[in-house]
Amino acid sequence: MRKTAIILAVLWAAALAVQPAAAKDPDTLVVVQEAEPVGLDIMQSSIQTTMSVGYNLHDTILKPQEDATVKPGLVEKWEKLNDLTWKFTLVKGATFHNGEPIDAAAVKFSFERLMGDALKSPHRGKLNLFKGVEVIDERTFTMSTSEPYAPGLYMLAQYLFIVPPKYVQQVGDAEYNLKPVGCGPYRLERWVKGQEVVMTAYEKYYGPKPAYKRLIFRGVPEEASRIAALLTGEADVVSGIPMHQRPKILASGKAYLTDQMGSMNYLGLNTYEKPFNDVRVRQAVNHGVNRELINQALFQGKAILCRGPISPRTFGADPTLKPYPYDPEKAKKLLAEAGYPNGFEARLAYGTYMPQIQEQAEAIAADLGKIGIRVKLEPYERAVMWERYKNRQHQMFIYFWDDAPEPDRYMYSLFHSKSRDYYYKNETVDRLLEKGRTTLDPAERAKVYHQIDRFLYEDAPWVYLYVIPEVYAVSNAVEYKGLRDGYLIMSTARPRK
Amino acid sequence: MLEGAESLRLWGETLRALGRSPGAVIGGGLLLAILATSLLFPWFTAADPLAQDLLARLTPPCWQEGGSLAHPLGTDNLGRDVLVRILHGSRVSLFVGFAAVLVACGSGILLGLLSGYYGGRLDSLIMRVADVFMAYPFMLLTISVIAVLGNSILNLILVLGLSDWVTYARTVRGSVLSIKEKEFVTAARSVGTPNRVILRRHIFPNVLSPVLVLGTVRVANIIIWESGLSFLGMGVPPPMPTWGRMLAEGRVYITDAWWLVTLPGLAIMLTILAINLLGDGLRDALDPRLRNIPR
Repeated sequence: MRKTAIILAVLWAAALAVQPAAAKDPDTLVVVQEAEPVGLDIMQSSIQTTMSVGYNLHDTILKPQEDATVKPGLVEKWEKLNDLTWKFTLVKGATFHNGEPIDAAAVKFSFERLMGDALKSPHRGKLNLFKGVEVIDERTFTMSTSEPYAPGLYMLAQYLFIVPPKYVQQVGDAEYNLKPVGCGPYRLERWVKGQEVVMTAYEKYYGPKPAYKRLIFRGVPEEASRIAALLTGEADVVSGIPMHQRPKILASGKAYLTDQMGSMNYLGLNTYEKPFNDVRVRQAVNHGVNRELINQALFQGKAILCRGPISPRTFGADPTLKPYPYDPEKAKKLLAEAGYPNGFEARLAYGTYMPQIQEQAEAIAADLGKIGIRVKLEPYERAVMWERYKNRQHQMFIYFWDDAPEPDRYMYSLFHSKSRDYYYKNETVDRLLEKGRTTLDPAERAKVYHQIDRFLYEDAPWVYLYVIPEVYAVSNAVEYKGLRDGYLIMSTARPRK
Repeated sequence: MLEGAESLRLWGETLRALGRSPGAVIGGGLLLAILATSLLFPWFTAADPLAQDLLARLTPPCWQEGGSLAHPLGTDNLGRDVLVRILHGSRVSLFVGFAAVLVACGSGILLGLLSGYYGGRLDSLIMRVADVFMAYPFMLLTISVIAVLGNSILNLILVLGLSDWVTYARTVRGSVLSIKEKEFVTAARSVGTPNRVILRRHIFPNVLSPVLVLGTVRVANIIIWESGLSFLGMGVPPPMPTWGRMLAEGRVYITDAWWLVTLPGLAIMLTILAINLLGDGLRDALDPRLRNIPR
């Protein structure tokens, strides 16, 4: 008897496991990313896959655009009172998913929560020039900065998420991370950890209603499985598509590709210690990596070679610069001048989680071997890589940033000594970066960033590599345009007619 | 106690018994061929397993369209020759496999002898430590140790070897417990032979045969673990080619370039098969009950 019960239970479990995916509901949109979210409170994480989920539940006060401008969101109009202060007016009648009204007090609460020590939000550094929110009346408030801040509105549009004060205070930060109540186009239905996040369209959303009633996010680490899910119709939108799979997806006739944030890869050098404390050595390394060949071989020529530290797709990149030409002879000469005629040994660290990273690292190491730099590869897991990075334990390291359209978003974070002085520090760069973020006239501002770009190009604290344009693959049944500087905003997806 | 001619005679019999088992002959022959290839291939090719030719990446094997004899088994994602990498990888895999077994065998035999012969508190201590090792998931242990120490060939051998000593120690201890009660041991003790001499000359040779069988089987396991660790990026440091890493790196291209995973996988499979066949034959040959010869 008991045996039969066990056999039945096993059969039942097996049947569940092989059950075919239920026929897809046309009102449901399924998004498959590389990982499931680590939490649902968008203020608590800066991981891209997590934020892409959070952006559908939460709204910021403005909508960031690809050209680093902003459009109205929860704030319907705004005016600049002076170089330091903006006045904002919220839309009428907007509510959180639990019915709490979205008013100026909620904005103030949200800003203070984001900047507060209790939450330790990874986003607070991005808004730290803002002094605070002054509530004028229910729908109006002002925000001012401690000094003129050119990308201010854009940064608010990217990072000032609005959360419901009463609910947050009632449940606390940890619980909110599991069951958030946002004001975005979708509300949370359930999060089954390890499986899926299910959302439904919020009926009382203040903006345009999403076309799909239901939105599901899943995390699938295996790229082959993600692509299979797309091609069999189980998924509508899939992220993390390596270059070599793209032609196959297009050839299937079932899906197309759209923009995702680019991945700007760079090879950092520890300029505080020998041998990279010598600018000639750093330039030699820049001449010694055959980026064009790597681009052709590994990225089918689709990557964009970097000139200086500012991506060619970002505002302020100096258009007169040319990428360092591949010139091993010149590299050897520079090394000899710097006192290393026979080259030297060096360590190259990289995070194993980065896509196609092992082959990039090995190709770069082989190139450097040709100019006499004997490279020892050091693959690290994500957390170890980061710890060692912060503790200045790397000698050479490959890291990446998305090439945002707004230069301050990554240039200040990566090069200003008040932000990171782990491997490089330069007073001229600090001064120019401060000037760049406080210069309000765009033409003047561009000139400042050109200067920074050129200065760092010559001082070469990095080996400038390339920007890999990442893509989402989208089913032909769905109309969706991905953002080059943003997350998965699925309320803009429509069924294709 | 086995001395001189007698010992030789027994080894000869073992070999003859091995020769009667077709599995052992095939396995032994295959293993010999693999060992010979991995030792002697530099006489035939001087190609560098790390030499990249990025523009010739993912060239298929020579019998397939687009392949060329310059790269008989094709090239990998960085245009490196797959055949040369498999050959060089064989050295790493076999070396790590045998060296780790030596480490495990050495420490296991020593601890097993001490534990079994002296008994008492020392025995309890060693066996409790062994229990702790056995209770700990092997893969987890090696991964955490490698994560702390960093990956190098030496670390890998030590970690794989030292986490595998328990099996040997327990086997040896079991044999010692029965052998130390035998008359020849008692006789040796009664004439005042020191303990270390008894252990070395009288007991040690008699526990060797089970250890030999065990060691053969464990080599196969260790090679698989090395591949697994390299697959996870915790094995031999890159860019040195190993079969496990070749699998891991080729996995991404499995739909475009089958040869990147299939061929190193085949190499692992053949080696393990050879070792296991030989191990099985050896076990039968060393077991007097199965050998069917009068003693």
